[in-house]
Formats: sequence, C-alpha cells, structure tokens
Amino acid sequence: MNALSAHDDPDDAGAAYHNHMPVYWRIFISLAVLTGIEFGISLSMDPAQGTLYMLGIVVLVLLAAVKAALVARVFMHLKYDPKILSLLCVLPVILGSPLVLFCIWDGINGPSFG
Amino acid sequence: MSSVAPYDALGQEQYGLKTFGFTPGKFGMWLFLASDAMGFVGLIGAYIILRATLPGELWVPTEGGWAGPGGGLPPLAPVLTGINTFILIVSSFTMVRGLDAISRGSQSGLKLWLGLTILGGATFLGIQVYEYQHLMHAGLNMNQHLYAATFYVCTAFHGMHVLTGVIYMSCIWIAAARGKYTAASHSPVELVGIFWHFVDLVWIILFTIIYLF
Repeated sequence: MNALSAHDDPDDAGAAYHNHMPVYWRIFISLAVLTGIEFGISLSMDPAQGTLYMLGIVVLVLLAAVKAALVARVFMHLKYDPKILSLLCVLPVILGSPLVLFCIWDGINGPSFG
Repeated sequence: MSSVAPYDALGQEQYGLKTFGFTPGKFGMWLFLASDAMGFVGLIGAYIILRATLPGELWVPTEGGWAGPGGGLPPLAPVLTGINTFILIVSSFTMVRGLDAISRGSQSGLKLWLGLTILGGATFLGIQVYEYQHLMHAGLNMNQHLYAATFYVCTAFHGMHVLTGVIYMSCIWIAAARGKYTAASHSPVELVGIFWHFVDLVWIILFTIIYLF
C-alpha cells in the first residue's frame, strides 16, 4: 500500500530543496553585529544632547528597520516567495506609518501629560 | 469516463503551490500576521506619543549610561533585555535550521532545531518574567504611572505572542516526533516558522523603541 498521498508526492517537493544555509548564517551574523552596534549607539546617547540625541534615535530606528527587513526577506522567505505576499506584508507599514507619524507630530505639538 | 479536475487530483496544498506559488495556509498566515501587526502598530503609536509628551525630567540618563524613566521610576534593564533579544535572534536562526533540516528529509534535525527554538522561546519568557518581578519590586507598577502601564501592555502583548509561539511550536514538535513531516510535506513547519520570525521581528522594533532611547 502506498503511504504517500497526493499532498506529499516526493516528485513535487523533492526537487524544490535549495540550500539557504550560507545566507541564513550571513543574516544571523548581520543581526548579531547590528544589535551590538545599536547597543554602542544607545550607550553614547544622552537626552541632554538635543539634536544629537534625536539623530541617534533616527539611526537606531533605521537600524531596527534594516534588521526587521532582513528577518522578513530571508528568514520569512519573502525574498523567495511571490511578490503578492510581500505586498501583504507591506500593507500594515503603509497603513500604520501615517498613524505613528501623526503620533510623533501630536506628541511634539500636543498637550503634555506631565 | 469523467476527467478529474486538477484541484481534486492535487489537493488544496499542491494546487495552491502550482497555481499561486504558495499554499493557502501560507497566505492565511500572512493575512493573519498583517492584521496582528496593526495591533502592535497601535501600541507602538501609544508608546511613542507618551514618550514624546513626557517632560524632560521624566526621561533622564540612568545608571549604566542608558536613558530611562526618571521621576522616581526605576530604570529599565537594557543589558538583560539585550541578552534576551539575542536569545530571540538565535531562536530565529535555529528555526530556519529546523526548516532546512526537514527540507532535506532529516526528521531528527527538525526535532533538534525545533526543540532548541522552543527552549529559546521559553528562556525569553523566563527572563521577561524575572524582569517584570524585578521592576515591580522596584516600584514600576501599572497603577502608578501611565508610562509603567504602557510599558507593560506593549511588552506583555508581545510576551503573549511568544507564549503562543512556544505552545504552537510544541504542538508541531510532537507531530514531528510522530514522524508526520517529510521532505515533501512539511507546510506546518514553515507556517510556525513564519509566525516565530514575526515574533522576533516585532521584538527587534519594540526593543529599540522601548529600551534603547
């Protein structure tokens, strides 16, 4: 009796294996190094520095965005999957960015909770 | 003699793969994560507006060189949480190793790497509970300050996702131990991997925004 069903036909998926381990290693090392860089920047930041502190925040957020993109593209396989899944992934960013930007604007210009 | 429709012959999973390039399960997972991400966007937005409106004396340099809540509130622990972040990144790496193992047909490899991923998730949760205990003991309580409430809601909402991931992965591990997955059929492993990487991705952003500035 054939134990394989139509769902797990080895002819379908057996040839689909691609060795992604080298790129997984590169991404893992990149994430570790970027986290270390973030720590270094964070340690050197002081809220009293004003503009320099704001610049540090921008750099930290950009580094976090790069790390998140690496995870999404490689670990979550968006790089290898059809583009429609990437569009689905970008949707919350498109919808959420105006909300967060408004929050920042409102936080700076609105009333203080203090 | 009637002809068999491709859908019936291939089954839902293979039909989706051949037609769209992804399984219905993967599309469903991404749809779920897209909606789930909106919840995190709302919480991150709430945290940002709170931080932006805190008076200067409520966000000051604290011991160890990091900035943190002042005004009598205890400082956070970026080093401990940084270690926790690294554990989560490592667990993402072990997850892709598990997926790679079963893609090659190695069931023992899947069990090993998925087991290590579960261990990483459980360790993350343990450290987070320890951090909460420490902070609450030091006086950072939800009913004390709006900052504390927002901090706990943001991090605990993520923590619940980690707990869900650990339970989800444990179910997949049990199925793997029963030999359910093969090189040709391991879609649930890929799906739990996508969920787990999402948990890691969200923490990368949360960690930066809450702990690093």
